[in-house]
Amino acid sequence: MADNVYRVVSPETLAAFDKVRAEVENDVLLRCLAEDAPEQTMGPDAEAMIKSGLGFVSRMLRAAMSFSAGEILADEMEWGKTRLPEYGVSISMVLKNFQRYTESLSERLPAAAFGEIRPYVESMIVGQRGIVESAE
Amino acid sequence: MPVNEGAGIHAGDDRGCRPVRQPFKFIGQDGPLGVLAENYLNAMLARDRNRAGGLVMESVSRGTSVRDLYLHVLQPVQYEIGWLWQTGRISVGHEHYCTNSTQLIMSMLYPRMFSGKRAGKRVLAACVQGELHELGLRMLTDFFEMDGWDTHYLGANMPPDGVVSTMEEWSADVLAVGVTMHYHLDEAQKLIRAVRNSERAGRAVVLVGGYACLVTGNIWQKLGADGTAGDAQQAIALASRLVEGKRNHG
Repeated sequence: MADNVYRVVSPETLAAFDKVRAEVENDVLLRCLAEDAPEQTMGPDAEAMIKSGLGFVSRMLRAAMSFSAGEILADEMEWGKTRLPEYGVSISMVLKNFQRYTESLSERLPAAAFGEIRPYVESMIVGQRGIVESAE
Repeated sequence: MPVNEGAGIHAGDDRGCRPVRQPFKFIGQDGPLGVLAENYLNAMLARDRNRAGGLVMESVSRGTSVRDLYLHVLQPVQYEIGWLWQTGRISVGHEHYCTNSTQLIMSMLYPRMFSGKRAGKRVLAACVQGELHELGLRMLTDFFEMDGWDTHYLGANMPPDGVVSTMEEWSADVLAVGVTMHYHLDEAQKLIRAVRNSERAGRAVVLVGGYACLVTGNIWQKLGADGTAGDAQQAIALASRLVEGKRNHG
């Protein structure tokens, strides 16, 4: 995605994001645990690891939005490509969690606020889908 | 970075980690001090910091400059160590052992660093609040020292007030800000704003650097800094130019 797609996210939207991000992380975690059985590859610490990972996603997303810097997200996904399999995290599960994260955000934020955030979260999905497809 | 296709290294008795055996990503035997870098890395992977330190000190005693050791041994080996952790070949504990051992070995080199002509300029270096990755900034500070600057290194996780008050006490010409994790960029912005708001420290040149700035090209402008640099040599040249410019223009 071209850099010029990443518009400045307003302070109001960042504040709205801060209010819902913990709920979103929890929502994604519960759906992931229920639908993906991550403990099969990640072991008994799966829940704690996914929770930690989703917190990391929110922090990186916020950094990218704060500085209109989508390349932060691309870099983190590149890092995750090599690092996350070491924790037993599949790249397809990451993609599903990004999709869940986006859905959950869209349900909790006003449309205008989600519209500002959308290019960032969609770039995560597009980037991760590319990683999955290149591995197939 | 050169890749040494033939190299194979082992992690000794690093139980719980996979044997390390792969082409190196950041070290090449063909590069300057490449063999020393490989031996140093192997010593660290075998958790033998005495041997690693001995290799470095022996090289210094044969005339290798501290600058070259930093550039061609310690820095690329640290990159390699980080990559080995990232790809699951060594544990986080092993990575921390290597990093802390390298800091210890750097301190052994200090007596050979503080000499030569002085530049008459002062640089204060600090990582932003929350940032724990300090080795790169420490190396940068040492490069400034070797270039004749007076240096004041504050290290990791510095609150903005502490940085500003030290700048005021010590009259720093330059503040070098280190930020590795992207989610600490907002702390860099807060720190720079605090410096700019200080009557006594606000005129200092502020450079920002570290991994978070390498990934995002123009982030230094958004943070309110005066510049950034991709390596220590560039940082010193930029700092010198900006400080002289300020001095010449009152």
